Parts: sequence; structure tokens; C-alpha cells
Amino acid sequence: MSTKGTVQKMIKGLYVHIPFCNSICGYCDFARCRYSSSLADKYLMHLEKELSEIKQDSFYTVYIGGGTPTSLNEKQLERLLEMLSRFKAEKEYTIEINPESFNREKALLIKKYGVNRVSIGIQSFNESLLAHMGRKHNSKDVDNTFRYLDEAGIKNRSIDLIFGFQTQSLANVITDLQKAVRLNVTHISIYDLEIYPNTIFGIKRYEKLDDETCFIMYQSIVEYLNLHGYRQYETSNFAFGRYQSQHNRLYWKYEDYKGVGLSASSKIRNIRTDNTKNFVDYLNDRYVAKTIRLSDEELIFEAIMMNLRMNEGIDIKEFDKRFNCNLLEKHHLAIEKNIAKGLLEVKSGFLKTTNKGIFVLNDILVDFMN
Amino acid sequence: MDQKYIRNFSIIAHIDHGKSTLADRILEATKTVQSRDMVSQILDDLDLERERGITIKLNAVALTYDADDGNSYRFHLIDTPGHVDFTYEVSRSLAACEGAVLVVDASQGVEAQTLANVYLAIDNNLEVIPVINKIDLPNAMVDYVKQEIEHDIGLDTSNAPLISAKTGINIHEVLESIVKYIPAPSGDPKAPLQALIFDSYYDSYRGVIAAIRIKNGTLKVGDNIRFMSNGNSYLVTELGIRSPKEINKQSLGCGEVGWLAASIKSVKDVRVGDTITTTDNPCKQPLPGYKQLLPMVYCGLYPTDNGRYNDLRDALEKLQLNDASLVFEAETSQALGFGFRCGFLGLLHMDVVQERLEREYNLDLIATAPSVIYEVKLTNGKTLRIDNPALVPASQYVDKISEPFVSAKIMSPAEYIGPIMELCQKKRGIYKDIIYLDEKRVMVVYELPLSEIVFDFFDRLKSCTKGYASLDYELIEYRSSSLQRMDVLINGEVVDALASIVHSDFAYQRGSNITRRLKELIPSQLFEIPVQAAIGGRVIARTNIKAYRKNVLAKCYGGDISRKKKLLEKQKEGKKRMKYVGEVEIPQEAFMALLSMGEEIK
Repeated sequence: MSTKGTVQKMIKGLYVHIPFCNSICGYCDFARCRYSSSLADKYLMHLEKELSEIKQDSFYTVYIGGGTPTSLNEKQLERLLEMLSRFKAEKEYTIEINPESFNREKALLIKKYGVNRVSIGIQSFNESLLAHMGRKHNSKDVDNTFRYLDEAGIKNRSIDLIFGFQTQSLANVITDLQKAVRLNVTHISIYDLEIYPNTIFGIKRYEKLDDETCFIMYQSIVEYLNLHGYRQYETSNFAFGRYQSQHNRLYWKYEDYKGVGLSASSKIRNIRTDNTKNFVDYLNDRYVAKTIRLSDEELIFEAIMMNLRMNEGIDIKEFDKRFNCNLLEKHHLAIEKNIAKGLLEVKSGFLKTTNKGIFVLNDILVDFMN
Repeated sequence: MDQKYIRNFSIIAHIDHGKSTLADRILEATKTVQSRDMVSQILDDLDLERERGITIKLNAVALTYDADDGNSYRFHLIDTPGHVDFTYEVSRSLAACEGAVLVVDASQGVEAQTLANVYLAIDNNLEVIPVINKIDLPNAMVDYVKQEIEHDIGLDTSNAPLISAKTGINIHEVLESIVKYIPAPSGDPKAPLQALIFDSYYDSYRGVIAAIRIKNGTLKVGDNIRFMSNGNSYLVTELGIRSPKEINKQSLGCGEVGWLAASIKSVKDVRVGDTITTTDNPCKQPLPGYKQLLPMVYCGLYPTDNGRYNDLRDALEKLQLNDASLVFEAETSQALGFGFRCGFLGLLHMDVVQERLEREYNLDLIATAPSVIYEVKLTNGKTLRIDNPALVPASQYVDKISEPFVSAKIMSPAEYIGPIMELCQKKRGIYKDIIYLDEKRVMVVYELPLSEIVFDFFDRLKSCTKGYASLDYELIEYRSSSLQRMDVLINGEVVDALASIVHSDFAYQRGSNITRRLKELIPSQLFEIPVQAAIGGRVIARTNIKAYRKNVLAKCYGGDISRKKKLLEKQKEGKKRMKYVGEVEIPQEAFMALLSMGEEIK
């Protein structure tokens, strides 16, 4: 990636957060609130202000996430896409969509503004499970969503799935995967349910499936998807062929990104900025809640933490050059210990987790902490 | 101070029934403390006590009260701890009083724990004034509770003040009742000195400070005094009362409660219940009721970070300055490294010491399951006293093992006799007596092995009597039993810190329970781990911890980095509390698994 001659493209990804949802899911701990048309109008106004401060106008990837971006009405969605139209998304332009709030108009709108990838919040194809997790869509909404995307000609489609709910069996999970495979999606993110304290499930002290069952499910998922051409490239992410999420890869490669909107984070060189999670502050243009200057040590640890999530692992040479260090020497204790345990390996210039290590990445990372 | 204007009393109450709040109100009402200076609940001066709602350290406060009769009275409010481990201390504090205020929650009624202390007060011939608290609560049942007090305890409630300590309603009546119903101290000021020690604590400038009650005679600064239990003599350097700050006095008169300093170096020399007299004019007899307290329960305490062994020793030494009943000596464990075997009065005492070490000295500790002292007679005729099960020699060298038996008195409503007896029977108890205290209350007396009480008796007693029973026990003798050492092996290695002494009748059951508990507590590793229980090299129970383990964050995108990093930091903290046996990581709770074996008795 050469930078000579042109305006330097320092920041690779742009993330835009839309915090509205039509309903709140039991497990969700993102910054979100129930959609209100007037609040959304105000929000977009201030989002536009925040966007206007960005000097760079071209990114490798642009990603609109949430919340639920499609909870915006058509007018608001168009306004959002319009204000983003000054940014060029060179490789990938993604928007998160939810079946219950998607329609033909919105499909055509996103197509018109150049969105070339959607990430669909399916979570499961099983209706009773959807009700259990507090989702409001049904299988008809899902069918429709795929039809609108077909009509609009958006072919690069990722779906989100979750496993680990009490009522789920391994058969349920595999049925969901079968359905996804049959729909020819290009990418699947499948998450092991995590219960956070400030979520509906957290407050109700929801008990997820036991660890042993989840572990078996996870292994079965990896096997099943690999068998059907979906290669695992990150802990919870599987790509058909070349369809990895370019935007999310930036995070895992620990590249620089800019986040705008409520609660969004940016990392630009050694500065991390966390936007406020407080609506009132945001609507008074006090976007930034916290700015952290990361030390070299912190940068190195965070890069390891993110890189090792990817199956490809850490490109050792690139890493050493980037952080002006010698990774294998610097962390030789942690690396040797985990190689001996069969959790890490060094292969063709990459330090990466083994098939065994990928399940216990936290244990490995703790060894890399000072 | 004229004796007839002195009133010495304690407040007795169940946890949460409002003892400390009432004490606060009394301090305010007597203007001992301005309300704005008040840290709520002044008598409980340790954080820990406040948090657990119990009072461990004794304290006495002098108050001045101008009564309706126009006289000015001196009240000494003596605080008492409230748990079975400290029964003896409670009885000594009560012995320093003439009366007690019994606080009963109008919405809860009389509770079992209160009863034990009320009986203790009655045993000490105290005048007990019932006070009904929390009458402002919507669910207050004043008449019902009055009836309960009359019926269950046998106290007249016709003059019982109805109060709300929280809002201050009728506190005045309580103060007047104290003047009216609690007798003035009766001692003879001209007799030789007899002063009762009911508490002590260490002060780094003046040495040990003893809390005392003058029963007979008078004590002055400069007197030569003698402790009757050990004959040690000291020169009194300072005397005083607390209000609640220390106020120095030149003398303490008959009936007064105060403190003394005499350059005493160790709390061990100042024994609660001991009698102080003067060397010039000694009394003939000590006051009745002195007992020397011995540790009954032992456990190993180890720093999770072996580098902090010296810090742990320093901390134990400091705690011991104020706690004569805490004993410790160095020991080593293959599994846990260097640590200390510590002796305690009982389980609560053990808990409190552990918490103080962790909180006040910032230590991370691993504690082994508590044990009693066993007497092990060897085949060569020698007898060993062993407080650590891991040190019991292999069975071929052991002739017999004896264990301490206690006489346990369980007080309870009569309807629970059945479950209590069943429990005692299962705990190898020997039935002695059932005494009907009145038609509703009984005292069940059993002889029980102390090891069973240390094990989980108290929890089970509480659960089979819905919390109504109270337990008091004292050591009677050592008896030989059919006991054996049970070892636990994890991944093929004996973990010495998990050894226990079991009765042969229960060996199989305990073996399978402990292996099952450990399976729940030890996190899965990347390889299968056998967990075995063995007696004399013979495996009696086994489970396997399967080799599955997942520990990875499902989601980690751009906005998650800070938060996820914190989770990892927390995991790293948790790891500090793990111990490695071979390659297996064992969390702290596993070492206590011997104690909480779940549904052992059905």
C-alpha cells in the first residue's frame, strides 16, 4: 500500500453507529434505544455534524452498524446514505439490516448509494427460539428480506447467528446452519451467547447452556461449515471463498479506524477515542467521552489480542517492523509455554493458534499480559 | 461516683433487630455524641463488623443521663459479640453488667439466636428489660411479639417500651427504664479489689489496654495489681473511661466500668474473665467463671503468591496483638507451598481472621478445610497431637486415633426435636438429654465429635430448624474412634492440602462426595484429569474431569477492545488465586470442598 504522491490515507475504516432498534433483544449490550422518529431526526442532524469534522474522504471500507440501521424510515435512511456519499468506500460498503424493518424501498435505496454488502441480523431461523431471545421477526420476514436483496442485486450477504440458549439443541443449531448454507450467504458470524450484566438476560440472571454443551456445539459448527465451504477465519466468523469481512478484518489486523455516532470508538495510531454513550451529551455535540493515549506496550498487547483471533494469526515480520520489536523474543516465555501446550504454533512466518488453542484464546492472552 | 447512680447494662438483640441503631440513639439522647459527628453505629468500629452485621470486638461506653427524677446517672453500655464462637466472651461482658436491654423486632418476633444470649443474661442474674423495636413498620405485630416474649422467655412486657430506634420514637422511655429497673451495682467499696476483665486490645504506645468492671474495692493509678490466673503483677499507669473517646481518670470506683493500662506487653497475659486484685491487699478468691480459651479449630493459610509469605507472617503477628485466641505456626504443603497452620476458637473466628487478613493486609489467601486436633497413638507407643490431617502417618504405623468430643447444647422450638436428633445421630452423636425449658422450647444435649461440628453441622442444623436452633458446645474429652486418613489425588498426584480424617463408616460416601465436588470446582483443562479419593493407598472413589474447555470471547470488534481487555485483566487476577498441582490449575474453593459436600445427608 503505497502512500507516496497521494493524500495519505491514514485511516482505513469508517464505522457509523445507528443506535435505534424497534425492540430490544434480551442479550444485547450495545448502545441502543427504542426507535423514535423525532429522536432519530435529531440524531442524524448531530451525526452529520460529527461527520463533517472528518477530513479524509476515502476509506477502504465503510460500515453502518447498530442498533439497527434499518429501523430508520426510508427518508431518514436516505438522508444517512446521502451524508455518507461524500466518502468513498474503495473495497467494501456494508450496512447491518434486520428482517423486521427491511423492505423493498430500503433495499433499492442502499443499492442506489453503492452499498455492496449487507449483514443480516437473523440470529436463528427457528421461530420459537426467536421469541425466546426477544426478536420480533419471523421466517416470512427473512424470506422477504432475501427477495428484496435479490431484486436489488445485492449478493454479498452475511448473516449473524447465535447459539447457547437454554432451549437450543445441537440439532437446532445445525438446522440453522443448513438453512444458511441453502440460502447461499457469503459469510456467517456465529456467536456463543454471552450474558452481560446490563442486559435483559443479565438482569434476569438467564442461565445459558452449560459449557460442555456449548463447546460441543462450537466444534460441530466449525466442522459443519468447513465441510460446506465456509472457512473459519476468526473465532466466530466464517467466509465462503474470498468473502471475508474486509471491514472487520481491519479491527483484527489492528489497523486504524474512525468511528462516528453514539458509543463508537476510533483508533488512530496510538490514540483511542471512545464516543459518549449518553444521548443528551451526543445531542449537544459532546461526542467524545474518553481519549486514551496507548503506550507502546499497550499497542503491542492489543495487536496480539486482536491478531490472534484470526486463524491466520500474526505476521511476525510485519509485526516486528510495525512495532519495532522482536515478538518472538519479547514474549518468548508466553510463546514457548503455549507452543509446548499445543495451543500456539509458528508456521511460515506466522504465529497463530492451533485448532486446540483457538478455543482457549483468553488463557493464551493472559500469558501475554504483563 | 456514688454507686447508686451507676447503671451497667448490655443490649441483646438478634442480627438486624436494631441493636446498633438503638446504641446510636442512646448515645445521641445522652448527648454523648453529637449526631452530626456520628458515624452510624459507633460501637461497631470495624468495617468488617458493620458489613456482616455482627459485633466481634467488645467495647464499653460511659454515658451521662439526667433522669426524670432529677438525678444524674452514669450509664455504662457494654457491647457484646453475637456468635457461638464468642459465647464465653459474651458471658464475661454480661457478668460485668447488672442488666440487659433485650431488643426485639416488632415485625420479626423472638429469634433463636436472641434466646441463647437472653438465657446467658438470666444465668448471670441480670435484670432483662424487653424493648420492642421497629414499631413504625407497617407489618409490626406489637401484641403478638409481646405475647411471644412473655410466653417464650417469660419476661413481663407490661412496661416494655415500644420504640423505633431508627426514627427515635420513645428512646426516652428506654433510658428511664434503665434507671428504674436495672439495679445499681452492689459491690463493697471498702473490700479488697476485685476487678473483672471482659475485653482487651493492644495499643502500640501503652501496651495492652484491659476493659474492666470493678466488682469490689477501688483501683487507683499507681496501684500494684496482680492477675489472679497467672500471678503476673503490674503497676497501673493509666485508668479511664470511654465516652466514646478515652477520658483519663485517677481512679475507678466500685461498680464502675473502664479501662486500664499497665505496660502489659501481650494480650495473652490479659485473659478475659480473669480477676485483678492489688498486691498490697489482695482478695481471697477470684471472681467466678474464669476459663482459659483454647483453639478448637485449625486450618492452613497460604498466600496465593508464595513471595508474600513474610507479609502473611507479619499480618498474623499484628492480628495476634489484639486476639489472644489466635495461634499460628509455620507449615509447608507440597501443593500450597509455605504457609501457616492457624488455630481458632471456632468457624466464625476463622472466617473473620481470614477476611481481615485479606482486607486489611491486602493478602490473597488459600485456606484449607478446617480440622480439629487429633491424638494419634502410634504402634511404637508414642502419641502425636496432629492438627493437620496430611500429617497423620500411614495406617500401618497407627495404633489408634482419638478425636475431641464436645457436649453440644442445642436450643430450639420443640417442633424440631425430630430433625435435630436425626442430624445428631447421623453425625455420630450420643444422646444425653432433652430438657423442656418451657412447653415450647427444648434444649437437646448430645455428645458429638467436634470434627463433625467443624464439618458442616451448623449449616445443617440451621437448615433443618429453619434457623431457629442455636448451638453451644464445650470440649469434654478425647475418645478413640475408627478414623482413617483419606487422601485426594488429582491427576495421579496426592494433594496434601486436601487430606482429611474420616470415620470408616462414612469413608466411601465422603470419598465419592469429595471427588464429585472437585469435579465441579476444578475447571476443565486441555487434558482429562482423574480425581481420586484413597485410603491407605487404596482408591475408594474416582471421577474424571473431561478434557473440554472453551475460553474465548465470542465477539471482539473495534468498539470492544477496552472492555474485553478489562475482562482479560480480571481473568489474570483470578489466576493469581489458582494453585498448580502438576499441570492442573486448582482454584481456592476446591481446597474448601471438603466442607461443602452438598447433599450428603438426605
